[in-house]
Amino acid sequence: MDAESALATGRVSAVEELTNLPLRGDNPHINEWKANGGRVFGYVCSYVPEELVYAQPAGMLPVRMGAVGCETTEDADVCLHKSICSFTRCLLQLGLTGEYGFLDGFVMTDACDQMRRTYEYWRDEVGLDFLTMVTIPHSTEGEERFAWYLEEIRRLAEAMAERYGSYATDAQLRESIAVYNRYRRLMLDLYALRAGPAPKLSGAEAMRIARAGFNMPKRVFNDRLEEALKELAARPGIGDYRARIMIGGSYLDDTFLIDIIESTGAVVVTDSLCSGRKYIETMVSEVGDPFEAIARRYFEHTSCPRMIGGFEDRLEFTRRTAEQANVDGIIFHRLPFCDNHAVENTMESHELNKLGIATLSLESEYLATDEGRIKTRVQAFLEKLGK
Amino acid sequence: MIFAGVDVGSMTAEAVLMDDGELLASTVLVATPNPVTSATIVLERVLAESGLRAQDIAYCVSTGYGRERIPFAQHDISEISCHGKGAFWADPGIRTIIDVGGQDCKVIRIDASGDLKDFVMNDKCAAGTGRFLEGVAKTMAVHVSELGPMALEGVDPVPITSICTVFTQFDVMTFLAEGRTREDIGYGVAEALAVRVNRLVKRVGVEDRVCITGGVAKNAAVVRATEKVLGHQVCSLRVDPQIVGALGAALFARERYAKHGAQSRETRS
Repeated sequence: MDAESALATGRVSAVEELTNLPLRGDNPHINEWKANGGRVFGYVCSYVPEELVYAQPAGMLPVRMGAVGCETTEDADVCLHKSICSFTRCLLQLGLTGEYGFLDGFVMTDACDQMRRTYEYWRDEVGLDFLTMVTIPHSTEGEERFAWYLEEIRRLAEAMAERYGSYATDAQLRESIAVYNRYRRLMLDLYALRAGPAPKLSGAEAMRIARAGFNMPKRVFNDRLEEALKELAARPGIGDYRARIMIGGSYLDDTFLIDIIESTGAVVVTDSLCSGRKYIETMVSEVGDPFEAIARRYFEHTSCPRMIGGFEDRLEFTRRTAEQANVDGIIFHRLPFCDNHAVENTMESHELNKLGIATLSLESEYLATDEGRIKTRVQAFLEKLGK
Repeated sequence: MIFAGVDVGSMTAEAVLMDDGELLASTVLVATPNPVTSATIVLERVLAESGLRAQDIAYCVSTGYGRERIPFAQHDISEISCHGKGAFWADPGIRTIIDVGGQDCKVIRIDASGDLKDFVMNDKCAAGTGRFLEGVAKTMAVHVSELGPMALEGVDPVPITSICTVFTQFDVMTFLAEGRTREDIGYGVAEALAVRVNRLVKRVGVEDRVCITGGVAKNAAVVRATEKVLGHQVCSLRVDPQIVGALGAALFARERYAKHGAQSRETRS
């Protein structure tokens, strides 16, 4: 439905609603949650078990924190050196200037040192009702390491119980698991709509929908996404594109890079981002102890390159994802000073090239403005692909 | 039939006219801040030099910064592909092209048909580019074109540890104050640039024959230092190394004309 007919009928399509969801303080879902007495918990990193937070009887909404719309890092730069990842600095900037003032809590991990270094600033300079750090083993091999992670997750549950007065019951945990598994299945359906010869949506639209999923109660999001999937399936699809591109990297919620790629006539059809397909895959087991099942899923999903080992699995994830979406090439992105992804992207590229899969490695700040520089590389990459 | 290629860089703009397969004329001028203005002026200049008019051009391809906004070009192609194409035309034995331009540096690998095989570009830093050499030349109060011949006279190159354009200018001032000769400083700077270029080359690999394109190719000391660090001979091309991008664009113009015929800007793909 275009804007005019939406205005005429007074209805906005689910696709439009999800792709245009206002962020942070302007987000109606967050405001409604707060107005109903709920609490909002921000988190970063794929090792924070969202289901556990969502299951809390105190009414907690986990929100994966992003920094889209951040325009400067001048205050954060006073705290953090320029050689600290720009996503981390943008996030702290929004914290320092009150953009995240609606947060009751913030759950961090020590998965990356760049983010870990901001803990004290969030504690001392931003000040939140609840702030905790979940520590993650540096390898996911061996039951003793799982036991460590499980212990950390219990500690998180206990800290929340101590502060907010109650534990989630097994039934509440199971309900939360069901909501999140449904979310994952629907998001996989969304990826499937991009895998065919005529993708039903652009990469930029897909990223905007995924971002809405980070910032809405999953139960509400699931219903809207189900609606959106129907709308998208009815579209004719994009047929006249120049190339099918996959993007890889760490956390990306800003469409800056995808917009550049798609402005050349290519279409982004899938990704191996930790905020993308890696976040979606791997269900939580719905049998057995729910607490342990949640911990198991987060511990055993496709690992972060910060882990010792696991490279073969990550490479296989990238290769399989590329194959499923029938991509012409992969564009790897990294944020400057992200040592983990700098090495990972180089290693994966090397192996993928051997398999005949073309790759391009790009680097740009989270708050990027150098469109021309990136576009030249993307254009040359497409020319190299003969597109 | 006349084909044109226009390459607007950060520091200079070039235009090439080809009559089918023959190089007809080329012009290089200092770029203005507006790429469209630069492209317009450089094309007018090359047309005037060859006694032709704009309507004589069958097809024009633009490349370089602002390549998408050049109104008289029917198509735009990245400068990476254009440098590969131009160098291959000048010498079909070329497989590796090191293009050192005003503000970026790239290494391009091409196959036996002259098609782009792989490439790598430096990231957002003026180190190891024309701007770096201009800064050094300015600090030593010489013209950038004098830097090469001067550096070839050097006997004991100064050590340049930081390759940052700004810091190197400080280093150069310090060396001057210490009484080091401008020849030795120029020599040291050329070596530092070659080391930096070599780091990029190693990322995509090198295959003979190798050539250097872009304005910096005119600095003989840099070419010599690059040969030394690379361990490969650097071939000199039969055309001005600065026009290779525009030359490639003109060659693409001819190819596209053969394939698609004349196109207006609106209908281009």
